[in-house]
Parts: sequence; C-alpha cells; structure tokens
Amino acid sequence: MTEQPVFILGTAAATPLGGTVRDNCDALLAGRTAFAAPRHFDAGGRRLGVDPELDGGNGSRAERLLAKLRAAIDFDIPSGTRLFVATTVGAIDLLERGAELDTAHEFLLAAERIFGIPDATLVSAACASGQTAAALARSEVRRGACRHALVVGGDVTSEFVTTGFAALGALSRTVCRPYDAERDGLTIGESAAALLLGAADTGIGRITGAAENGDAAHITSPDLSGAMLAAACREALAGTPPDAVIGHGTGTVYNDQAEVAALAALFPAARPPLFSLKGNYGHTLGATGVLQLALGLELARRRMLPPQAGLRSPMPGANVATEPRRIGGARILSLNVGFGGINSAVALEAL
Amino acid sequence: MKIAGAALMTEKFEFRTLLRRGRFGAYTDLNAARRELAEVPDMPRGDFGDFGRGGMTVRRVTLTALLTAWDAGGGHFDDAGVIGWNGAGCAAENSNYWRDYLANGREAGRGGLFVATLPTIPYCEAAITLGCRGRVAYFRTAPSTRRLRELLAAVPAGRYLCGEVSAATVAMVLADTRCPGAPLPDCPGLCELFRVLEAEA
Repeated sequence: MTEQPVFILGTAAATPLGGTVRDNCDALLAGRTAFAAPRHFDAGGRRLGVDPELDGGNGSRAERLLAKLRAAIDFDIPSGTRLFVATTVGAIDLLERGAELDTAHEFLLAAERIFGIPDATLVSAACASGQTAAALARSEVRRGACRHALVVGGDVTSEFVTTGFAALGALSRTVCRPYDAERDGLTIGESAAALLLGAADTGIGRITGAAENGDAAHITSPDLSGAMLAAACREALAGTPPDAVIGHGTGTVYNDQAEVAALAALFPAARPPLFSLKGNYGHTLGATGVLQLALGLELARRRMLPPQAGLRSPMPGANVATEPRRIGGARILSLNVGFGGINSAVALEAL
Repeated sequence: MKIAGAALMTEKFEFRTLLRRGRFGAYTDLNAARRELAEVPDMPRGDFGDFGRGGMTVRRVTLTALLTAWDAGGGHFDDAGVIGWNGAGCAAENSNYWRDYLANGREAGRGGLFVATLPTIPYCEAAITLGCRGRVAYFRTAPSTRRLRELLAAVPAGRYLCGEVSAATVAMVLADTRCPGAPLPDCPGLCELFRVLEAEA
C-alpha cells in the first residue's frame, strides 16, 4: 500500500486562556496563566488551571468542554472523517455525582454526538493519550484507511483526579514550575484541543515523524535516564534536529529530570530551546498532547517560543528562559510521558 | 498479520493457550497461579517483583500475557508493544478509588487505588513484567476484531500483545504485523476470536 503524505489542515483549542489557537499563543507569549481556585469542588485551597466558562449548566463538565471545542472549530470537517478521541478519565464528574459508568466511554459517546461522527476510536495512553491519538490518526491517513482524521483531546479538572495526584504526593504546594530547579510537583488543568489531519496537497503544517515506546521500568515513575524517551525522539526526528522542543514538563522532580536527560543524550552539544505549556495551563492530561501540537504549530509558524511560566531558576541542563525567544525555524519536537513508562515523541513542521 | 500465540483465562482461574494447547488450573487464587506457572517448562521468567501490588485486573492481565508469551515459544519480548482493547476498561477501578475516597476522606485517599484508574495500567504492568519496550496504549472501538487489525496495521510493524478484559475472562493474542498470516475471522471480541481459532486448530 502506498503511503500518502499527511498534512495538518486545521487546529482548534478551548482553554481558560482563549477560544482560538491564536489567542492562546498570544496568551502564552504574554506569560499569562490560568490558575485559580476551582468553584466546582473544594480543592483544599489549591489553585488549578480552571476554565470558569465550564462552571454550572446541566450535564457533564466534560461534555461542556467538548461543546466549547466544537464551537471553536473554524474549519470544515469533511464527510467521511474518522474521529480519534484522547482522554484519561473523560466525563469523570458523572462518577463523582454517583453514576456508575465508564467515564472515558461516556466522553467518547459525547464526542461522537457533538462532532457528528460515529464509530470513533478512543485512545488512552495515560498522559501521553493526546500524542498517541495524533500518531495513530496520522498513520491511518498515511496508509489510506481514511482521507481525513479529526483528533480531539480533552480532560476536565475534578476532585477525583486532584485528590488522586495528591494521594501520590505529586501535586505542587503552589502552582507547577516546569524545569525549575525548585519545582515541587504538578498542577491539574483542563482544556480541549483538536487537529484535522488529511491526505492533501498542502496544509498549515505536517507531522513529520512520530514514535512511542515504553520504559518497562516502573508504573508511576519515568526512567530517570530518559533512554527510551530519547529513543522515541530519535525515531520521530529521523535525523532532522528541531528548532524548539515543547516538553511534557509537568513540574514534578522526576518527569522533568527524565526529559532533560533524554534531551541531553540527543543533543549533547547544543540543546534546542525548551518550553512546557504546563506552567500556563497546568497538566491537562489527555488534552495536553493535542494542545501541544496545535499550539506548537502556531508557535512554529510565528518562529517564537513563549517564556516559561513559573520559572525562577532553570534546572541544570534545561534550555528554558523567562522571556519570549525567537527560534531559528519551523520544526518542533513535542514530548508526552505517561504513567506506566509510556513515552511519545512527535515531530512537526509549520508550512 | 500472524497470530504468534494466544491465551484465555476464565473466571475459574483456568488458562488455555492456542498453539501449544496448554491447559493450566484451576488455581485457588492468582498468587498460587503465579507460583505454579513459574514451574512450567519454558515459561518466561518475568519480573514479578510487584505482582502483589496489583489489583485483580492487573494480575489477570499479567498472567494471561505470560501464558501468551509461553504459547509463542517464550524468548525475549523487549521489542513487543502491549495494547488493551475494548472490554471493561477501568470503570470498576474508578468506582473503587472513588468509593474509598468518599469513605476515607481527602487525607486518607490511597494513591495505589488511583493509579489503577487508567485503562492502560494492567497492560503497562504486563509490559514491565515481560520487559516489553514497545508502545503501550488502550483503544476502544466498535466491537470488531477487524477494526483492531486495522489499528494494528496503522502502527509500526512489530509484535503486539493485545488483550481484552471482561468480568469473566481475559483474552490475549500476540499479533505479529511483520508476518502475513492466515485470514482471521471478524469477531466481536478477542475471547470469541480465541474460541474460533481454538475450534479451527
């Protein structure tokens, strides 16, 4: 079977910092953050990356998030498009309200309804769900299984997830500070994002490579050597170095250490500029990979990398900065890391 | 795509394998199963250091993955990925964590129960046990093994342990997408596929 070139034909984002990809990138470049005390549950004084527009209303918060994303999409979704949905816990607020159901499946069904596309594929790979879904969708388009694929990633803030990470001792005492020497944990956030991929002649960008693997080492901690993450990056880049890296950058001690170790192994001489969205939005779980690709593409188009929100003193080896930076080209490497030792690397290029 | 091995675990803790026609059990519990299966000739050794940490789903998937690896002739599986597909997902684990949290409160929430609230966790644990360093993911699609084959065809060629968990059974196949194989019937699940292939063998 002949493999077809795959282009990114459209992007969308629904976040606390804006309803368009451009607005979100403006916010990132201005160093804005989304952190506030949630009103839909008692977070014990913690600030999260919350979207007040999702408060109230009937039904699931997760469904409102998907509806907000649908409203943010300003491109046509061609007939016959396949839908790939990335989430970790999905409509978890329904379980919190007493409904005994598969919350990820409920999220999938809601996405099918809202986007009008049946027989969608749910992709769950912990916090690497977003990029895993994008890579799978790209592969299906490449091999001609479909002409277009819509990748949707989303997760909402919840008591369920916040208390779970608290029980693991993984939350920051304040808000997350990715790649900072004094980072002390992650902050939960909520967002949704979408990518339309297609077998076309051109587009606004293209995914040039993607790779995933597993550490096979520990169920919650990444391999601190970053060896397998580096291997995934190497495969995704296929010899072409990126102009910047959008890291997973959760702000936990171990995650950021593993990522910086992987990048040090890949780029021993000169490390590309590094940035994490988590300092602005918090960890948006199943959304983060799709959001990284959507915003990374726009940042690559502008040849700009935002200041690292939360940064005071960079951790050793991390090429991060407190000011916006110009980047030398339009190639971005985006990283996701998930529980269970899941690693994902996606290389993209703005056109 | 070739089915290079397969195993089925029943609710009575009995295991059957496809190619080597293995029949094991019924065991009194999964810890006993692990101990006794370790004595079976050619059984991959596996890293079972954290076996006791996992919940029932993790243990069921891990042992079924071990038997699938045995059915495939053992050896090393560091190139293999592990894919979970359809089945029960993690709804029971989510409910378990949330009920425990409600009963015991914010300060006594148990991280171990929270970790289990991802559908990939049993497959990640199986990957750790067998040293599989390929991709790990969970897909939910229409109930058709043809669709699963399509998704496997979309990912890079290689070996994938693909599992499906229900309340009663765990079914797993080792799919080798590098090799052409006999046409496979389209079934609503891996358990049904295992039974069809077993009847045909």
